[in-house]
Amino acid sequence: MENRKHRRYFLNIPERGTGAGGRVRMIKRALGYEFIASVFENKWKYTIPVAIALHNCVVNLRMSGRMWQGSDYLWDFLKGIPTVQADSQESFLLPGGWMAFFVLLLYFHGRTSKNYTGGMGQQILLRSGSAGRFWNAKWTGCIGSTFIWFGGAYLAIILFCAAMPGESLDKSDSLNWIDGKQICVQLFLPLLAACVMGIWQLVLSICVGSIFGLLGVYCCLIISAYFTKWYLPGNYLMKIRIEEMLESQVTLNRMFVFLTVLLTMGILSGYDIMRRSDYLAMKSDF
Amino acid sequence: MIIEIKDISKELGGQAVLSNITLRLESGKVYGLKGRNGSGKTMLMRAVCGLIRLDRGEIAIDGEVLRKDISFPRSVGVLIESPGFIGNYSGYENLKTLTAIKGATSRERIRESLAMVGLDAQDRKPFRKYSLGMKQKLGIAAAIVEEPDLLILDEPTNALDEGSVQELKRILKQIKEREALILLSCHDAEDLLELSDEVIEMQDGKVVSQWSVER
Repeated sequence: MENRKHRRYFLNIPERGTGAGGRVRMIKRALGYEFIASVFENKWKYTIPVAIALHNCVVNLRMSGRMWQGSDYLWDFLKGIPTVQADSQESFLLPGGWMAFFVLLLYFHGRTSKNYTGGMGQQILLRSGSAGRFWNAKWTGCIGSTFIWFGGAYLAIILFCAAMPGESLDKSDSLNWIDGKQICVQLFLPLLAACVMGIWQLVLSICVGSIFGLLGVYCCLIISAYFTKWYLPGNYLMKIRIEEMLESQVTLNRMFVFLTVLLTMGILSGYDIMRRSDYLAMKSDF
Repeated sequence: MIIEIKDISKELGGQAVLSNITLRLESGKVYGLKGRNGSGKTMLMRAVCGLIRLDRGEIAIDGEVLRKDISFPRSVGVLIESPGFIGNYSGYENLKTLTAIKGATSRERIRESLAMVGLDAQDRKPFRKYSLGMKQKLGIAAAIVEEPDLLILDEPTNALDEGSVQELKRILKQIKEREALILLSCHDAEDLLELSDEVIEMQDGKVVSQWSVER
């Protein structure tokens, strides 16, 4: 009987009096509140990726002196830097746009990742009725926020291409995008990697506080920029690095499986840590 | 509702914040927690909410053990520390969004709760522009809006003027009449005595005395 109770608790199986439908509805409502509190309350922050993307387009336009094709703008955005060779004379300098895009994304994740014992976090935590439901709302909100962040930037690039005269959005260009590999490299893998880092930032925030959680993912980001390794998730945030890994026989499947496993592990770790944690120790430190 | 607190202890940074506390709390009564700052009142409230992991002992609410059978009390309204709300929303919008999580509160009830604490449901002023007293009132409204069986109020009279304190006393009496269990702490000893049926006095994380208030 005792084991059954623990299993029900760990798996977030509905407690007496609440059906599966009721549980899903409650998660949706908690998520709704989380979204209002963290996304709509600070919606101005989503102008940042838009500004970074537009700045990138304008700089490219001015440097090249002519309008590129739409896919060139998309490729150039968040392309990152090639692996820095130890014996080369090149200085290690991360692109400002790429850096700002991810540093600010993770910073805003950090700001909304915590606060479980006071304020709005406490309201959701107690009303959602279970730590599992609360965690569901938290990680789904984090992924949603990442999607909006990326979506804002890519939408800005598409609108820029559509608004500018020239051959930026011709038919042959859009046909290039039907290629599955391109979609993976250009859109899917960076987005998935950003979600992975966001979820692990949440997990770290629960364990060691939001400032150390943020520093942890920043470290991962910087280390990834130095070393091109398939097991460093920051590499998937640079399109050039994904191409380099593909050339060194790391397949897209392997990248996809690795990131999915990392994401799943993050979500499951969060469940377990939330269940065992002392919410008092998770107080906001921003 | 019966809350059984069985020999609970909690240490933070090597210091005991709750020490061997055993209590039995029953519905229809107001329990007043008395003690100096740092005596463990707020920590005990957090423990009853399920917000802290106990080092020893357990808390059972109607036979269900917190953090084993249930994460948090099934029906609880809480005001601990400063209440947090969505800054751009008005008081009414905040309560509407908040109560939507459980989805069991009517709009009429939200208006009624705001009126009880002296806030206007029609007022469009966003929460971030509220005064300290108005924030506290909204925190109280959020705690009582879902008509919880267990109401936990930590220093609810903070930032309230004399008239609002009297209003709060009237509200608590109403809630008590519908057989809810109320656990509250209050700086003002007179207010605490007036509101409580039983007073629990705490010192250094321990319950040093518990007595019934004679009317």
